[in-house]
Amino acid sequence: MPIWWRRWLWLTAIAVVPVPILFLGPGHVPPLRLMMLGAIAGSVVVLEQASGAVPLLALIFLFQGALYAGCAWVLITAALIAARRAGVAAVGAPAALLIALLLIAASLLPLYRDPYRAAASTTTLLHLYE
Amino acid sequence: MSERSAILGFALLLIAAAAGAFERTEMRPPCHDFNPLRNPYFGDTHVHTTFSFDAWNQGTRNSPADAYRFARGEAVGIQPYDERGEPRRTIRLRRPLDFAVVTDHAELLGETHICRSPSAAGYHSWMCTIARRWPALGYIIFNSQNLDVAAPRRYGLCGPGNADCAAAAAGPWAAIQRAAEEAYDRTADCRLTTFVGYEWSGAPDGYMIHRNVIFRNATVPEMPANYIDDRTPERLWQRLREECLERGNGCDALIIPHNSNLSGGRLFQVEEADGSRLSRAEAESRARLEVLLEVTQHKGDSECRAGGPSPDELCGFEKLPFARMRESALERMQTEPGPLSYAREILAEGLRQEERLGINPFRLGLIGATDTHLGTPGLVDEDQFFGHAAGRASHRVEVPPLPDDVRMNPGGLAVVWAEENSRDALFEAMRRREVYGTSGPRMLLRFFGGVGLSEEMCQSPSFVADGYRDGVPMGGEIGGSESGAAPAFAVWALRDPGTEDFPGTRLERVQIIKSWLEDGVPREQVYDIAGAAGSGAVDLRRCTPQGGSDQLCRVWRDPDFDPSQRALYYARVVEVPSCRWLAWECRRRQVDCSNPNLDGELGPCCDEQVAKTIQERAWSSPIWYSPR
Repeated sequence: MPIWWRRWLWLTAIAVVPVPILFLGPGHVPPLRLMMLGAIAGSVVVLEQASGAVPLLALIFLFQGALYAGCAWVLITAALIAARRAGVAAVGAPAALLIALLLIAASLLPLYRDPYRAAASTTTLLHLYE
Repeated sequence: MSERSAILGFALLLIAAAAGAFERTEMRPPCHDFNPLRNPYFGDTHVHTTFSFDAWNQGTRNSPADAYRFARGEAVGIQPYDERGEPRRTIRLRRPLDFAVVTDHAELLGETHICRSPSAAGYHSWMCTIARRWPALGYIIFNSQNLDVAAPRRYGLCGPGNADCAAAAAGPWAAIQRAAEEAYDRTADCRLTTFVGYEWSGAPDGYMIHRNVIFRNATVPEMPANYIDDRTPERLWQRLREECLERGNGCDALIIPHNSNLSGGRLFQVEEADGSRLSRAEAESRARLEVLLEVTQHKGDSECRAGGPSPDELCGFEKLPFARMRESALERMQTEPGPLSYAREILAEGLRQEERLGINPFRLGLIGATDTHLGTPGLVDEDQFFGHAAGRASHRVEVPPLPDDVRMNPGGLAVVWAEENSRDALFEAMRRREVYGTSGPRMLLRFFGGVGLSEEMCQSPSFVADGYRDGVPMGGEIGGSESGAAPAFAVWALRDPGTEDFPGTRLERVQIIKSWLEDGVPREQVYDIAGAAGSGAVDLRRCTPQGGSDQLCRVWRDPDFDPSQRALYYARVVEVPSCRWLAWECRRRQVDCSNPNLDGELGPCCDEQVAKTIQERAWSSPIWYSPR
């Protein structure tokens, strides 16, 4: 059961929680967005044999996206272990509540600042991946 | 054209030809303001519009025709645009320009046209989709592959053999020519002169070797040369020789290299990677085509190195602290601009090469320009800075707290001394380097040199006539006299009067900068010849400059003159301090530095390390001295 929740919490974290854009900012977006931008740049490298700064750009996006995702995994695992040691028997309800709250907040509040969007850089989750 | 107007035009042409001032290559009446002693004309030779990929990518919609309307003094809109496509900001010049040149990037002319035109075949290509949906990503992806590498290549959207992009580029190139022709005032009023031009924008390894190409008249090559297809300056010169200068069809061109501050010394390379040195033939090509250098613009000043060989505290002016734009984001990555990154070093190197080759490849006049990517030529007032629109601060969809990176600036102007405001007159003045650059203000600057100049010139009502009669103007050359007497230099500077609502700033001092060769080694010396340092100041709270002079004049003779030493002299006129654009912006936003919740992006307003004042200035083209 905890492993199952760990996965959901982690997926929510990398898709929703805003983190600073390193080197290529300023801005703050979810790690998934960073990986998406890295994947686009990477596709240009692969399909168009792009040179210059494009491969580096792809790597920087992908690396920081992966780094944040890894950190999220470690933090969530640590939190779940701590909860188990504290005697919390069922993490399902609080985890589901947390995921729901994160999704609602991210959908309603302009938590993100993405300088790579064609529209306004400050936006909500619903518009971020438009 | 009716028979009568043709006869009238021909008669006027004959009158002007009789004046013998310059060669006319086009049919047009002489201007009402024709003056054999030459008038100053203010203009901008470096302007990007929506046809440039980086400008379009940041939301610029102004076309070349809009840019020329703006130069004439009309209002234009700039980004951001609302959902109906209406601009959220409208701007206009306080004073119209006399001339302007749209110089869109030649490199991505076709790609930009395809990606911005829904009817174009490649509009829905995935590369265009990236450019439209993630503009900042597209900016890096397109620029780094096409411009910032030693072996640039086009993307697949250009089709087999890049034929689609080549074909698409023809449309914008024709529109550039059409806009220049339609905006050119061919009446005797001569209100605005336009030139057809483009920018060749190579940047191998990110070091800019950018050059603007300007054509004398409406006869231009079928297509502009670009860095992707013609990767060296030598290839650019060759294309211009073959497709313009040697065609015998009246085509003529000159080149204005710029951003030597971001070139790592490659803009004026004298030695190749394999150790081969500049040849006489290359030096001749350069000397023939590259007669001017843009000494200031949005991306910093290129006059002299801060902390250079001679004590010159004014060299810190608008300096970028890195050698190429890609280093701008990370301080730890930044490197010092290499040798030959600044005009003073380049001009001195020209003297050295002249000793070796018998020809000076770097005999360059100095001008200023904006490099605007908003399609707004001549928008140089510090209190009206709307950003460069091709750098890190984008105004595409929203106005950022500060219009640009604090290291950027509004850029400058080119001033041309010509008989009248027509293409032929201005072009010939540029070719003889009778031009000067300013960091924005419209101060007047006359500079003559010659052994026979009178010490009393400043008191003479015929200062200019005397200067032309007894000496040479800026951009000229003086030879050694039999007596070995030191040449005199006459400098007259008049403050920019400004406008009724926005008066200009007074002058602090005039300097002459001398560069010479001593046993083959370049030396330089700065002489204060009129006015005094510290004769003015600015009240930063009100942005009102105080002190200074309305005009300064002096005839100066070089006290250290050695008739056997090759040398050059140029004049620098400096205003008293005034508010830099950042001070205007912080004042407009009523920034309170004691506020702990101050928007982080307004932080530079409260950072004492960031310049809030500026000493605007003008640089004359040099006068060269060659020993007998």
